[in-house]
Amino acid sequence: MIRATFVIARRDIIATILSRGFLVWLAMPVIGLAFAVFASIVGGPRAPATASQTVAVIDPAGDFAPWMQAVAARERTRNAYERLRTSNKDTGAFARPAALLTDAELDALAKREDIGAIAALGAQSFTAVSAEADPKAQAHRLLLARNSRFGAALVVMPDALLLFTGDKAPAAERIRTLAGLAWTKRALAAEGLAARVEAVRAAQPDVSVTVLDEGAAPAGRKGAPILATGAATVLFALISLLAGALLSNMVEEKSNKIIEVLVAAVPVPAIYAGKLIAMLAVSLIGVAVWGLLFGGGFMLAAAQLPAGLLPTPPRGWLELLALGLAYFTCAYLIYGAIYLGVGSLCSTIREVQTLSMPVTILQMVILISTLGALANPGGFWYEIVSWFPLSAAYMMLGRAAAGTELGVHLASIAWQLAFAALVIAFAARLFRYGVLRSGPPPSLRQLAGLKPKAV
Amino acid sequence: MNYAIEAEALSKRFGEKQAVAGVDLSVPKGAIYGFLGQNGAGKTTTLRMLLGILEPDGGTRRLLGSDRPLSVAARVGYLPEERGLYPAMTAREAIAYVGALRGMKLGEARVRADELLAAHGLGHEANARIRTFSKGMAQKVQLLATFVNRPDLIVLDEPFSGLDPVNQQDLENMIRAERARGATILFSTHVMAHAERMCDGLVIIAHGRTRFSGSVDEARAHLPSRVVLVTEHPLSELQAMLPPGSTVDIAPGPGNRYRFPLPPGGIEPLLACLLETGSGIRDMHIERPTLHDAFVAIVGEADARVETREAA
Repeated sequence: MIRATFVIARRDIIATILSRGFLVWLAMPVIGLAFAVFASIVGGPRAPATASQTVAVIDPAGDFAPWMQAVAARERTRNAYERLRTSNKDTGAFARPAALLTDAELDALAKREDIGAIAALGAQSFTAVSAEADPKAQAHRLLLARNSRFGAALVVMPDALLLFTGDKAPAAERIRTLAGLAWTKRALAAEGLAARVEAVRAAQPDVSVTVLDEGAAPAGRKGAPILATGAATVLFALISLLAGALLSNMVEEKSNKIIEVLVAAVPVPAIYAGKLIAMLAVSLIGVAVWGLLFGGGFMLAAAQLPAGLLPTPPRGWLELLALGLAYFTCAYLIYGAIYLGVGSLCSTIREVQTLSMPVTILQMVILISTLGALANPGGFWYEIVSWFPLSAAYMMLGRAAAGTELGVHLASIAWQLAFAALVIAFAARLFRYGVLRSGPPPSLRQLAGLKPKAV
Repeated sequence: MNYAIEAEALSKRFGEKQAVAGVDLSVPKGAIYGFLGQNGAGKTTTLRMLLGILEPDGGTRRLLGSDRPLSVAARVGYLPEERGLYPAMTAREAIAYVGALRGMKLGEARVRADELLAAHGLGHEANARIRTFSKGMAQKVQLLATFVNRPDLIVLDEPFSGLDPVNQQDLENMIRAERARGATILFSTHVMAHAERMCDGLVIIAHGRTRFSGSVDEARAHLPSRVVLVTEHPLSELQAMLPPGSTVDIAPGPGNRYRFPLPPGGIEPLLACLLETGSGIRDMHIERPTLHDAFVAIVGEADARVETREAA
């Protein structure tokens, strides 16, 4: 039976790879990405991207722009510090919460290479513009001018701050917050209170937080849930895109009328297993190619980012990727076997299309359950979703991203492969009764392999 | 005797329909057997049960000595009634693929495919894709695929349908060559001429049951031979010339033509009488019933039995 399985798998792999559609299929995600990039270039903002990041500060008094620039720089440093602190909370350098850092501490942190690099990403700049007689009219003119280099204009009045934004303005709320902070800083300095306020802030204690939830992720791994959700979602997307093709796989055999030649020569489970293995191999080729293209691109982009910005899996990228491959295989075999079994009962592509909607709904329910369970670790539901065969692969990959021990994964993979074999055997039996006998559907008794009752 | 196929009381029901109600079948090794029946008589279902494609509801079957047909699949060749090949495959690959499914090594199956294609006039099409073939050519490729593994048993379901007379003759020759090699062949058909020409034995089924099993001659003996007589002068008293108990079905035509069952005592007494009366014999011969006649009679009897049973 193993030999027959590989004869069928080999034929299907070659037939798929040598078909004209295969290259199109392989290139489709790349074409999609290229189209998206093209569309964003054609339909995107005509003005340079940096224009919307630049805010004109029109200050007749002439002293507000430096305050604005200093406050913006410190807030960027504070944000960068907070992002790095997420994954380095346990280290001494990041022990203090970002909100409690003083100006002096922020100025010192800005000189650190990692923080400075993150702070430089997408930085807004505040440019002082000499005020004219009518600052409001000047702001209008600056923003509405063709090819304006400003995304917003801040007019500083003696008793008010007026913010004008264009269509492509940077976040107005953020500029307003920064302007408010700068106003307060300037006022405190004018009153001689700046040093005292800083001292009060420096003396403020950190608030100790203890989470009384056994299943919660360990402290310092705030990035893990994001990674878990991301991993489960990517796996779900791949399975949804790739395994669905198996729904129509047996319809082809039936329409070619070759199914009887196959069934007369090899056991039906071997036909199913061969087709599954073939489609899995083709899908893995696709995943490998896309992984090289997109993964390589992602790694290149990630290499440009400052260290520590991306979350790291608790047990390392290598183990996560290996488990990702294993769970992709498991999920593909389980869903593929179900799709192949259900699809084999259809006679036409129309019937397959009718079936694809409930299948999609089922998948969505599984995804929602998985993401829900991942967001609430621990407990009965968490374990149910982890071991329920249709959600196990997604859930366990999510858990792998969050750091679950390897032994649990090996047990889960064994269970999922056994379940896939069970589905293949069941689907083959259903096929023998449902298709070859061309009669009414089998009873549960017949599906269980028992002799039918005497008529 | 050694049998390649043995089946006893095979039955199969599809929902409310009893497709096969009790088929007995024994095909000796090395023989060519015809499996005859009307459309819907249960031929294809029986063949599928014999090959293990369908599981019978009742009865027993043994194929090449095994009651698990798939376990001897490597020694069997099968041409289903509904022909099917992958359109994108080349002729060579299509034949080799069936060989690989039947347990051959792929390289060996490709060599054999080339041999078969060359021997049957398709050598130049070995690398052409099936989708470029005419229906007849594609059918021939599938026939060749049936023989690729040099099977001990070849089962052909309606092999002649769709073939032109030249290819039908070619297929007959192929079947005879396979038998000469030592293979056993069972084929279903409702074209009596093929069965009459080729078969060592026949099984006729009707309404899902075996109605006849034996040689072609035995089948033809199911009906009496008839005498055809053409005379110069009309024979008004032919009945009187026949032995007591004979019936005459006179079918006069041009030249006084008569047709009647062969008298139990033979034709000589009648011939002597005709010579004595000077009737002017222009033609006289004994007409043996054809297989077609025998088949119609056997199936007709089965129909009558079923009708009687249903009426009761």
